[in-house]
Amino acid sequence: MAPNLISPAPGRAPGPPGGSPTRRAAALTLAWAGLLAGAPAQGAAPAWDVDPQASTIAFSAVQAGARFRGRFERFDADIRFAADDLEGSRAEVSVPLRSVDSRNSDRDDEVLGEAWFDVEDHPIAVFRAGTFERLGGGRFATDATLTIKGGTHPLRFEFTVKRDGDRAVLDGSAAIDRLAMELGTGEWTDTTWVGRTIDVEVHVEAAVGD
Amino acid sequence: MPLQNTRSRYGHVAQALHWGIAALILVQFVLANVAEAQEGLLAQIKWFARHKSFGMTILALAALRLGWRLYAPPPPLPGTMSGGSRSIARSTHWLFYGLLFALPVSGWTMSSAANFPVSWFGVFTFPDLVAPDEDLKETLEKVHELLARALWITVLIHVGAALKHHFLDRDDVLRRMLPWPRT
Repeated sequence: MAPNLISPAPGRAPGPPGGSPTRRAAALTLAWAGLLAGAPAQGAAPAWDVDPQASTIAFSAVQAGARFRGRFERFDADIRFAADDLEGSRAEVSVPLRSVDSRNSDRDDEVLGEAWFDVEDHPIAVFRAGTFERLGGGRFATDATLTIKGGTHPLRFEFTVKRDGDRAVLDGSAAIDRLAMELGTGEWTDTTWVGRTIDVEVHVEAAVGD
Repeated sequence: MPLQNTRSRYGHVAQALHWGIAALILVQFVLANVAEAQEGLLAQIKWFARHKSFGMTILALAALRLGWRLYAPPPPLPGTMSGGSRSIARSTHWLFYGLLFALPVSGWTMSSAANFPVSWFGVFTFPDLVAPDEDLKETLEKVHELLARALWITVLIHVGAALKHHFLDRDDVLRRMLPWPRT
């Protein structure tokens, strides 16, 4: 029950608003604690224990007219999600960019460099989910942000979640505008040779606690 | 000149395919050398993409050429040629067919192994022949270069022989592949 700051308990003699000074201090402390509990990275939805072997962050892009695929071998996902508690759901995923693997060392070397990820100065990309929306049919979305190469950009992420007992499977995707994020500067801005959009596909399998 | 081959000359189809493929082979050698000379990954991507598109065009034309060769027999080699010469000529021609398939296919496989899939001038993408594999890619790079060298040698033998027939033997061997009537 919310702390009563307005009027004293019924039956008590009228006194200063909120009751005695001690009671007021206790009530204010409780109120602030309640506000802080709603802050980011704290949600009330159950935490997901992500299975790194079964989860992937993959991407694809068009190079010289042909689509190729790659993935990030390492990432750290902090997810709290429940379909019936979108308010209390949170997600933050950190990706060490050096873990990129597009199955071609020339391309991987180039992508770590200054024109692309610039891992020397910005080794980690962070995805932070915003408020979650229910799209219907088991589909959800969030207007998230991606912090990469020193900039933070909006990124809409749409996904499905399937639950089976204490297992959860999430499949989602996002389309990254690489020019807006300065991924591929200078000569690489020519989208004839590397397409503007990088498609990201995420597959997460997790054990969901309570 | 008819569409089909006659007993004395090659017809339109055979000639168009022959000279068309010959021209594309020259273009390929130039593109490959330009691509190899590039510094920086983007420049290499651009020039190799062009080389790959022309290469796949040659593969398609080589298939047509072979189909046509099997369907329409070529004019027989002149009786003035010795049995040995005729053997060499036939071997050179079949070597060409082999190389015109092996070169693009080795290149296509190499691209697949390199995870740089092949697009035909940005219009459509060819399926990958193998899964990405850096070691396989390195091997195929050597194979492709070796085959290209073999093609270059075969071209020189072929051109040399055609000129020998025309200027030394003074027979019709070169003339029957030329699109203009004998003067």
